[in-house]
Amino acid sequence: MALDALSPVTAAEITTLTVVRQRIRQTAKLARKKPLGALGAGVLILLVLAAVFADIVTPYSPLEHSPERLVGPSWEHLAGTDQFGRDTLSRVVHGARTSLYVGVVATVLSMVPAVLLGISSAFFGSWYDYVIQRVVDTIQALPGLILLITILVILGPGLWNVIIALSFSRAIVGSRVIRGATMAIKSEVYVEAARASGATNLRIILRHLLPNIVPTIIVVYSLGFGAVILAEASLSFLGYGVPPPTPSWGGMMAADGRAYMFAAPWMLWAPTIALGVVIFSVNMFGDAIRDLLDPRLRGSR
Amino acid sequence: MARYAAKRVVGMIPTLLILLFLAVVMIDFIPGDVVDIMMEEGATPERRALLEQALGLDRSVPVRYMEYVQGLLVGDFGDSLWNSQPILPELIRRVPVTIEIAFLATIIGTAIGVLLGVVSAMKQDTFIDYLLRSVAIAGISLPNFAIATFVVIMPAIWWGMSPTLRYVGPLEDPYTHFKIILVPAVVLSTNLTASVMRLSRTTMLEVLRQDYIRTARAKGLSTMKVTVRHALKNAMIPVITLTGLQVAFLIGGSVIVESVFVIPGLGRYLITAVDQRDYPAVQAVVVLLGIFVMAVNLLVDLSYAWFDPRIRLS
Repeated sequence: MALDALSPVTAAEITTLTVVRQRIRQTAKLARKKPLGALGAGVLILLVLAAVFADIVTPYSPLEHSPERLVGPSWEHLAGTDQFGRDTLSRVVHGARTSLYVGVVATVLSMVPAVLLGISSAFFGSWYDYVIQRVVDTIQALPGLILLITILVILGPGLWNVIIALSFSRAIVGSRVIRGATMAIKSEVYVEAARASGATNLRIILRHLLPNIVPTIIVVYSLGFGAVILAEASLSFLGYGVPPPTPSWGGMMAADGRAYMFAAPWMLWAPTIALGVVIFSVNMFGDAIRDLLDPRLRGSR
Repeated sequence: MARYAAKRVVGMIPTLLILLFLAVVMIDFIPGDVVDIMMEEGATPERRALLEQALGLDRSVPVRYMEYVQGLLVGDFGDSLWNSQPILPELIRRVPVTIEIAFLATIIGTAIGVLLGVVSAMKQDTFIDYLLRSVAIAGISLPNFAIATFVVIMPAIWWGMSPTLRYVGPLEDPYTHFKIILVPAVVLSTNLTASVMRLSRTTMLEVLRQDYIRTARAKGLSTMKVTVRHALKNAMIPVITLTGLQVAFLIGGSVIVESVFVIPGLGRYLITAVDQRDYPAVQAVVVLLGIFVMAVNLLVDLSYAWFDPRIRLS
């Protein structure tokens, strides 16, 4: 091609560039349509970066005691220090890591049982479905926080127990939604057609069911992610969450934050703002995803 | 209608039985030897046996299940491990407190939520609409405990006022009692208010677009009459469903609110029981709350059927 003779850039690279530019343009269009959702996505990206690069970004270690106790916001400690002289800002940033870690792991861990339960329950029906759904009913009868606390009473404290409790709760809720979506798709014509042409159950599930369930799963889990973060914060606030000294926003807002409220209000403000902003962003992002992926759910705007 | 109700109640029974089963076998899921963990040092064989018996570990699951169900039927929730007293009287004392706060929160949340939602819908896309919607989103995003903590602390910092954290019963001093539970109820209602506001705004907008509203307006009815008489009633059906479903969340939230405001309700009892590893008490609370939520869901379903004849005739 004449293009090759013009510059060292190959045709392949030009194609890649064009594709990248297209994707950027598509994303920008989406962002303009849903500005709040885009804002939410932006904050979430910041959150992920903060969590992943926490060690590099923060000037101090979140666990490092220092003689500068209960110091207000200053140039050295942008968000002040707590009663042990630990830098509040560093603790908040590392708290992002805790929230994200727990949130992501719990969510991902919950997907497999939710999908297995939901799809099998809807697919095989009859008494299997009945029994499983009754058990799901029962577990859902318990308010979320109460269920989590009960599970943690049984399992005991610890980071992984918190994650297990959260994923269990998410799996139950998710299985219901997935079951509903599966039942809707099961009665579609193309499934009937596939069965008529001799497809096995497994093939139907893999080729027809799963691809069509993906939007539902995405919507459920992006909205659910906020719930998980909120639940972890609530548990930490009550003292049942991530054990100290690991920083967690909920934990920072609990006894310490309140006890030192008069002397050092920044101890309470910093994690509160962080938590509020993150949950807000996750909600906005989840709302936007839901509106985009499932127009049927869109109410009058 | 009665047939539908009967059907639903009967349908609840398996769920109830499973709940009781899970409560009974809860103890078996505890990793490690429960008795060892709880006994620590100074454990004589007799005391170990006593504890085992109290926890029911010396009997098989079916036996324990039957015992528990039989106990429940006469109102015996077992004895607390903490003080060896029957749990039921404690529950009876605390349940009304929690219900009162949850009830108040529901009323506040629904009333304010509907009001704000309707206003927001009628003034769609104006500054007021955006303001209210932002407040609603903030209300959903801020966790209960954050709002509770700030509500307790801020007045102390700004005005030197600290809220009375000593609980007073309704019969002792109604006025103070009301003052004490009002703030926790409002804090508890935040989430509900925001959700109800958003939902009623959406449904109100949908209803306002309907033809019969246009007809009413064309007939010359004032905006007020149109809104209240025609639009509101139809917009409320989904709101009622939402409120009913949110009761479960309210109860979960009451755990936090009772904790921060030091209210002797069911939520705090659960926390205390958990901290003391008082498993029978935890079982009792779990069973009670589960039954309560199921009852509320049943009521919501029945009221839904009452409003919409299509459901009960299906």
